[in-house]
Amino acid sequence: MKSITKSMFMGLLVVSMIGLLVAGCGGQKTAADKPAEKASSGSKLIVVITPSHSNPFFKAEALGAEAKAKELGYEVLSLVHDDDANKQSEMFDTAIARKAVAIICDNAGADATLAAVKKAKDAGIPTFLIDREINVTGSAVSQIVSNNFQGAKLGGEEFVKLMGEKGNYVELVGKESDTNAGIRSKGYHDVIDQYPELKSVARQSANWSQTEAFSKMESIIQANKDIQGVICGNDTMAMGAMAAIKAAGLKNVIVVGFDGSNDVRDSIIGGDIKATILQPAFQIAQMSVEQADKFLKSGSTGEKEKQLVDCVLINGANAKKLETFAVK
Amino acid sequence: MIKNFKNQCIRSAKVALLLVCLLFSSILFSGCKLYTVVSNDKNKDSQQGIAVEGFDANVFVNSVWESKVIPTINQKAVDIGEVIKATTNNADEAGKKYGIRSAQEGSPWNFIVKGKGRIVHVNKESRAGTLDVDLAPYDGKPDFKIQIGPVIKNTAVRDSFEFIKYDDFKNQMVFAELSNAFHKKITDTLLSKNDFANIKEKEVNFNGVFTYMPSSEILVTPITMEFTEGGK
Repeated sequence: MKSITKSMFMGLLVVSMIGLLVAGCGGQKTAADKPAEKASSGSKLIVVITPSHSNPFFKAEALGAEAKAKELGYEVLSLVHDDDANKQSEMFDTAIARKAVAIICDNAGADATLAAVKKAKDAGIPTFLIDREINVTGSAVSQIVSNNFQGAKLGGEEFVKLMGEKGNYVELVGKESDTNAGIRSKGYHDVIDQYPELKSVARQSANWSQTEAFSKMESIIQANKDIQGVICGNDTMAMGAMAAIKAAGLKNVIVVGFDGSNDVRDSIIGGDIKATILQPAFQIAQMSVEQADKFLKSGSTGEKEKQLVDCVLINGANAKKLETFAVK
Repeated sequence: MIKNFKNQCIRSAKVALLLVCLLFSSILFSGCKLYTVVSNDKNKDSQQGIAVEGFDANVFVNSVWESKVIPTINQKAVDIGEVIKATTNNADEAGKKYGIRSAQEGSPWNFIVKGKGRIVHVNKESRAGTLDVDLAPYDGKPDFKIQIGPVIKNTAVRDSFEFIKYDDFKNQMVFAELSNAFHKKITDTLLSKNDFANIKEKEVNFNGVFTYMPSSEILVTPITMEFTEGGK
């Protein structure tokens, strides 16, 4: 009796496995059967795909692209992939189905994006990547890359200068899965590690989040009050760290961020955070639409595919000129 | 006998089922890929999980240093006094005439320069050490700085040559390593051979490169330097 139940169970297992296998086949078949539609010349649609607008940086990017596209007479569909490569792939499908003339994309991961860009290319739609790069050339028309490494070195240099080349410091790193978190951290260390009198007392990820930066910083301070500086992978974490430092009553702690948000600008003007690095999001987005327009009209952007756009140091000297990720 | 036969039947049926299960599992899992876990701190260059194997920036720099960098510098260097004057008037005009920029409009200009000047101050307190240099006619006020390390700032060397294009490099990390390798080369061939003691008031004969940044001082990365008495 026992062995009969056992065989029944095994039988069921086999049946369900076959079911799974067949299900897999089914999915693949429909994807392969989908016809590649050619972009029609009648369409004037540009699809803009970015990470979530809850971060003002990406919002500025989307707004910059939209504004330029409308100015040049295009319709715009703005989509958000939330850093999910599958979602991004569906959005490329949407762009293909809607017969877009061009795709502007701040991508959800270099490796996963290549397939999506190729898919669009096969459907006759050129892709213009902004902010983040992919590691290959020849698929996208342009890659207008924000030079995070150069920016981080700039931030590192300013931090070192403000610290007087010595002291104990804390580093708050972004989301470990995000390439830029690693690039920025490496850029900081490329500079800071050349100064032996600067001592790292804590290095933690606060996942780009303000509340997480606050609580992490709070516990770091509880363990060690002898901190002269905090260098952060982005501005929201810098805001969190600054709040924790104030709450703990620490004075003269140097805080440096990255992004160039209006919040940190106001903090710099108010004398709290000392510096940040502006990534020219608005400018990069506008450049990409200009190049798309040129490419559609003449078949060439007139630029190299990979274009590095340098970041700009923002401190007390120029903070007042900063507005929505652009220096006026 | 019958019981034995029945048992045997069940056993072979079980074995067959197991085999079928294994077969399907292997088909199912064939979609999965194998990844090798690599230690994080094994190699500083790939510390953040960004693989940069297959390209050695130091090897690249060694391969172009004598054959391309030095000849280009000798051929294209413009008098620094002239460049400073031109940039003060109009940076873009000066750039078009004497400079090079790697990317599109709006990115900074780089200049290959040469010159002779008097050292009015040697800053070795900072690890990003500099010489303050006064150009003739000597008024005692510095006109620009020359980096003497050990920390060398910015990426002027990498960005000053036509034969180095970002398109040819995998990503910004690799591109940044290239700049570091240039700085290492300069440290090895030039800066480490001098302790920069007792050179105040001496004259320096140099060539090098700089990136023009509006509203910040001119910071030359030297390629060659010679010190001579005089300059009074």
